[in-house]
Amino acid sequence: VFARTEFTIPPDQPTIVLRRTFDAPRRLVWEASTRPEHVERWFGFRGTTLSDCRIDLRAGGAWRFVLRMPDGTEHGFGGVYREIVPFERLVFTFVYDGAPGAEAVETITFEDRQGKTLMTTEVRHTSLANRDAQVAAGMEVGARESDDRLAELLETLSKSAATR
Amino acid sequence: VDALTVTLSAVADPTRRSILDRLKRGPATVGELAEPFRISQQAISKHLAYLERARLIEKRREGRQHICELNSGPLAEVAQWTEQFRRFWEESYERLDSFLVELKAKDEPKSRRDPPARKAKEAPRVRKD
Repeated sequence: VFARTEFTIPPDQPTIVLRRTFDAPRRLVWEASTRPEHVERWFGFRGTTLSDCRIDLRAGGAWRFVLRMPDGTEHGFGGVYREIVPFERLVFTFVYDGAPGAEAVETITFEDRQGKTLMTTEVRHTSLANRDAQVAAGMEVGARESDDRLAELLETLSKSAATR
Repeated sequence: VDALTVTLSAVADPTRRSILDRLKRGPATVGELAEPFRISQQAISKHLAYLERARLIEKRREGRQHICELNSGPLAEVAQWTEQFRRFWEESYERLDSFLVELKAKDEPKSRRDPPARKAKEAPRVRKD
């Protein structure tokens, strides 16, 4: 089920990296990721909506999303754009309301892959402790019974270590 | 330092991950765990102590032997979050896939006319035909 997105969660670096190829040209993937009326069409778990989605797409401009869960609870997060290279690169800060002390920096790159687009998202925290604080806060979002994903987790961790 | 950080730093080391991997197959003695590694039993004991402090393994004595056993609880906690995180992005990206199909369909006539289409808000060009 998860074969299409590559996740790297290095146990010894405060980052999380996602890689995914989309069957659309770079320009469209960029627009889908940077226009609020587009972002609210896809961002979030199935069954959730964005009750707020504001994007001021310029260096120094703010962004804010509020994710509304099916049970009505809301989770807000946002930040400030640091660097914008149209159709190529987006750098912005990310703070989750539930963990205000743990600001992360996200870098999204868009690369052409023969008409398709490889999107790489790197979430970089300032420390392992901060990444893990966000991890802990994130666990409250729609938390459910844990599956036995131990084997898979160890594989992910081993792979992360091996690829460096 | 919270429990998650302790867990993640315990698995940050490749030797400790191999030890945990071995223990997934069942309990083992300290000697058995040291076997595959080219390091001293003392070094292995340090790793085991680290894993024990992180509550990832439990040690018990059987006669003269120390038997180690995996305690997957702390890892399950990490796995639960990892699972949430994956699910969040996987579901978002699947929704993005569908949305892009829609966006491409709308975009096709336009992109045939002006392929680079760099700026969305460009002033209309005056054509001299």
